[in-house]
Amino acid sequence: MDNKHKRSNHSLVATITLFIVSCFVLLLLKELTLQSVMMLALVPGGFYFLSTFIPQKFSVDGLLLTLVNFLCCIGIIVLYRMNPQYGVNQAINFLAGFLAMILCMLGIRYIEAFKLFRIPFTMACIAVMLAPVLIGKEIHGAKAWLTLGRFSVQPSELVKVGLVLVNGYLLSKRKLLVSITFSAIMLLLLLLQKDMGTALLYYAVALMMMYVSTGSLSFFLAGVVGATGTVVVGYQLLKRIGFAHLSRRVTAWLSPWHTYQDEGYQTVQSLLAIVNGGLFGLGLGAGNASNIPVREADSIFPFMVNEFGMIFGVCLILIYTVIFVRGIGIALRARQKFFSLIALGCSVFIGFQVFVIIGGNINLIPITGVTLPFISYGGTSLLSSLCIVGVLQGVEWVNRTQMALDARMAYCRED
Amino acid sequence: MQPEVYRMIAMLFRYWLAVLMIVILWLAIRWLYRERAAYIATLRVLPDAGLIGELVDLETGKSYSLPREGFIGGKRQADIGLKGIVYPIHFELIEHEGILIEASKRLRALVDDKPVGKKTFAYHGSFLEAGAYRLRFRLFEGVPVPEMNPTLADGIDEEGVWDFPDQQMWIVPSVIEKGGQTADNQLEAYASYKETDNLEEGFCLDDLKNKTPSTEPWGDEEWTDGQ
Amino acid sequence: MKRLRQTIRKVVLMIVGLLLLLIVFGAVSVTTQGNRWFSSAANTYLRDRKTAAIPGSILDRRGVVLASTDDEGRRTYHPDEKVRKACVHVVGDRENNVGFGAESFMANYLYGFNTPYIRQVVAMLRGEKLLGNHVMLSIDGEVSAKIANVFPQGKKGAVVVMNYQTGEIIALLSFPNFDPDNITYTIKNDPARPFWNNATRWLSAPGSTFKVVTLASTLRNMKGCQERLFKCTGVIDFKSNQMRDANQVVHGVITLRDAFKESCNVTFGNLALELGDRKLKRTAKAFGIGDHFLFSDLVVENSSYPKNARTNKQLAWTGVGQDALALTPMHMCMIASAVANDGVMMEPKLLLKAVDENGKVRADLEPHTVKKPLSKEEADIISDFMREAILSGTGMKANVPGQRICGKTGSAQVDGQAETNAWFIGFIDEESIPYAICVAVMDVGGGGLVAAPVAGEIFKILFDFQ
Repeated sequence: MDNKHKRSNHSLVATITLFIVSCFVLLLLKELTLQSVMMLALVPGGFYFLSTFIPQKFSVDGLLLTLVNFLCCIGIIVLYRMNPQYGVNQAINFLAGFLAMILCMLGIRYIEAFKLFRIPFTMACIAVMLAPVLIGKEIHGAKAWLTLGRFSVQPSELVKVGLVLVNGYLLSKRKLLVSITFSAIMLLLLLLQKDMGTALLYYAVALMMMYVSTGSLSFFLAGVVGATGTVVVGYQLLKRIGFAHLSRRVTAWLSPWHTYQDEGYQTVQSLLAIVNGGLFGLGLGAGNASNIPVREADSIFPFMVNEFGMIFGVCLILIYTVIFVRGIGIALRARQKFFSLIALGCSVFIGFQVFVIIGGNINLIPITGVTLPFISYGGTSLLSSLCIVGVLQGVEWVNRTQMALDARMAYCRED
Repeated sequence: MQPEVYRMIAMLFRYWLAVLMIVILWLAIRWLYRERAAYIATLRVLPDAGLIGELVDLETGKSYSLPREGFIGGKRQADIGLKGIVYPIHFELIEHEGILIEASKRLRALVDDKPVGKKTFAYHGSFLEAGAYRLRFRLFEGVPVPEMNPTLADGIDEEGVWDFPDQQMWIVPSVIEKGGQTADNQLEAYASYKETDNLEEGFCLDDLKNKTPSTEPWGDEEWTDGQ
Repeated sequence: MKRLRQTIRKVVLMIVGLLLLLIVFGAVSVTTQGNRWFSSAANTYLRDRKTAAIPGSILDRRGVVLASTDDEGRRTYHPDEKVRKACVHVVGDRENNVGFGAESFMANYLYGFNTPYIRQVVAMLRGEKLLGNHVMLSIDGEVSAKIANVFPQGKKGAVVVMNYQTGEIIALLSFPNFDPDNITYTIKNDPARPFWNNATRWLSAPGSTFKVVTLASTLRNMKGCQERLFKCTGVIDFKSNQMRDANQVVHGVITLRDAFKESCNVTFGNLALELGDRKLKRTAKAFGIGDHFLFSDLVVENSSYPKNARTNKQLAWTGVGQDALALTPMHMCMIASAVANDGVMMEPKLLLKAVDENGKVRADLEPHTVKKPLSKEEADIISDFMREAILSGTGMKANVPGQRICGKTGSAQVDGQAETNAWFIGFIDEESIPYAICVAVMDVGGGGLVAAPVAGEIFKILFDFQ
């Protein structure tokens, strides 16, 4: 059984490598440059190396690692096709993020050592979130960015892990009220940053973690109803005060085709890109979705479906689902409430974010400012997503260690 | 390359890529499924996986499996369901320190005849009294809690100890440090596990499969008689 | 931990459910609305791809070429200006000024976007441009031109002629129209909106033609209504206004049949009050008012039934086709065709055939039932009433001796307009000439005076063309 298992795992890695190679060969045919050749050599090789080497060194989840690497490589491919510089940047970001992922993994595995720092850590999270409100730049109607020299960071992305860890710790000690307070502070700071999409995401994750830890369905429903109520009421109020871009977003959601030159432009271009692509797409490098706004970050999904096809789009959503289910599996196998909660928080972060971003792209829900994890362009976004995966891998590592101990204990009892 | 020719080639590739994508998805789902099946098979061979021992009801002799973390309560969702326990009693294994017991003051639970307070720990053999229940902890060998050495008691001579076994005085030396089973040591013993993500292989479960592992916790049989 | 795990499982279901919802929503959206999006004005892809393929020709039902591409790649239309102008809202123009005309709505076929990959490669290798499919529409160019002739000159409005058995549209005209070969600056900025297709996208209260729906509701919900005698005192008093009949006529004691043929507002207002909003609304829904139309061949605006809290006054005025009702001439024609077709409403169709360059048929007409608002008996009764309206009622000017014509006139008052809109719906009750029509003329006077004669001329044209 294990040999077959090993072979099928290997065939997944091999097939993905083949996919990446095919894509780069195609891009090479489009434009024969040294850069393309280098990408063709390095990216598939890098993928293969990372996906087979790491599971040998650390006892982490191979499937999760492979799929996440795959998605990051798809991101590199698509961004390279859009603009070679983006592709190269994303590749470098990926390497940096991968290191960060390994650090997070180790951090979680040896979390006991960090137990002392929990209060400073919490304070740091709040401080980091406060910074953009006080000294941030305003981009796209949201005041969510900090510039340090040449780089701009989005602190709300980085603090995602913080939110999960702090809440996980508090909830595992059953300090529900403290957890609610902390989450409320984070949420408030996000709203002050006017970053609605990330606020929704944070809210969903915090609510799920609290629901899971209390097991109380009424709590959950109260949270959902409260949120919908606040959104509806808040929207009516804020519309008058002057959150102008909110009402534009809602108009764009409800009647994009009537306003397709103005508010609805992004939505309409996204939908058209998807429809123009058809089932199989127009072909990598031969698409026509060059006028979708923000196509390298928020609207990268329609761009991809335009070139790769709707079948690809559906498969991509299913791959994210597999990643989510894997994360949940890790949460279910955890033996301690803390680990289970942080694994759950991380999985929900990924799963719900995918729902929000693609939902916005196909006009199921209004467009928000979140990005597609692993694929969207952006150092901070990629970094935070990989850190989240690092946390998941860390929990899985703990799970396997404990399982090994259990086996040892059972073995002992024989004697 | 001319855009039109490239377009044709790209259109040819798209079918190839779509096929690959579906294959990738299929393989991923199959991996997911297979690993889950392996995990379930492992659990079947290691029925105590995740458990650290038992909680024995001294009145009825019934024993409840004890996970690492959970709570005792009256509802269906409780890890250990005892009717009549109105407020949940939370227990959590803290390595090298014991099982932390937390309960609401209103329940008036006692651990080893002391009321449950801020830092109440239970060990192997500890008594738990709550409501109409009298329970005793029975932990598996290898669970990293301090052991209680029945002979190192102040002010009680050996004879007294054997007459009244339940008056054993507990102190907290850390047996773990005596070169026994630390987490890392155990992990090294299983270095082979790191090479594969196949759980079965790592545990040399084939050996275990042939024997039927005893699920008896280590401890005295007298405990079931009730004290 | 047990509780934790149980709850986690519920969370899994929720989020996986959300993700699957994405797939389902995407699939449904694209299948139902994909073509519409593809051919909308916002899609610049069409404009780009149009250079890579030679669009096929658009023909009318008799094979007359309405649009084609000449050797230089330029799009040309019918040589006769009258035919061009009459068909422009169906065919479309070169720059997609007419939204959803066949030039763009059927671009899928015309530009060969559905050609198999192999064929495209072969064409590319041979260095030729791909030739799209030819599209045969169900409209008749000559009939359309003749109808445009009899429509009151200089007036705004629409005419729809439909085959009520199959749903084929024989003529779809909107006025004012324009010549696609001569689009001037004045036309582009004309406040009368010549580009706008009034037949399918202009929503308005249809006036007394709506009494067909009220009648249907009465027949279904009021037992013995045909035998009943109604009293028309010439007026219904509401607090804020009065409902009167045209020309202050008082009909006295009257049967349902006579009330219909004379188009008695008082009787129908009272009928609406007696039926109640719920029943009337239900019948309206059965006729498709309030539905979201997603037809395969054309885009029709959705009709709506008034939504706000209903006072008696509003209810009575709805019963005679006023108040906040909003229907398109296309929809009124569909209602007439339902009555003609034994109660079965067919989906309007424009595409007869799409044929590729080798003559292979790529798409065919598929008649499709949209709704079944009436039973055969009810349809027979209503068509009998409508016959009476033509023989001796308000629709006499639409009569063509020797043929069995049924119809209903309507005069709709519109705020801000000096004159009423004139409406007429009707059909020819013959197996061999199965056509239903709707005529709407804006701001011109009474339905019986203006719309009915136009309808009569149209019926004559239809008899001659067979």
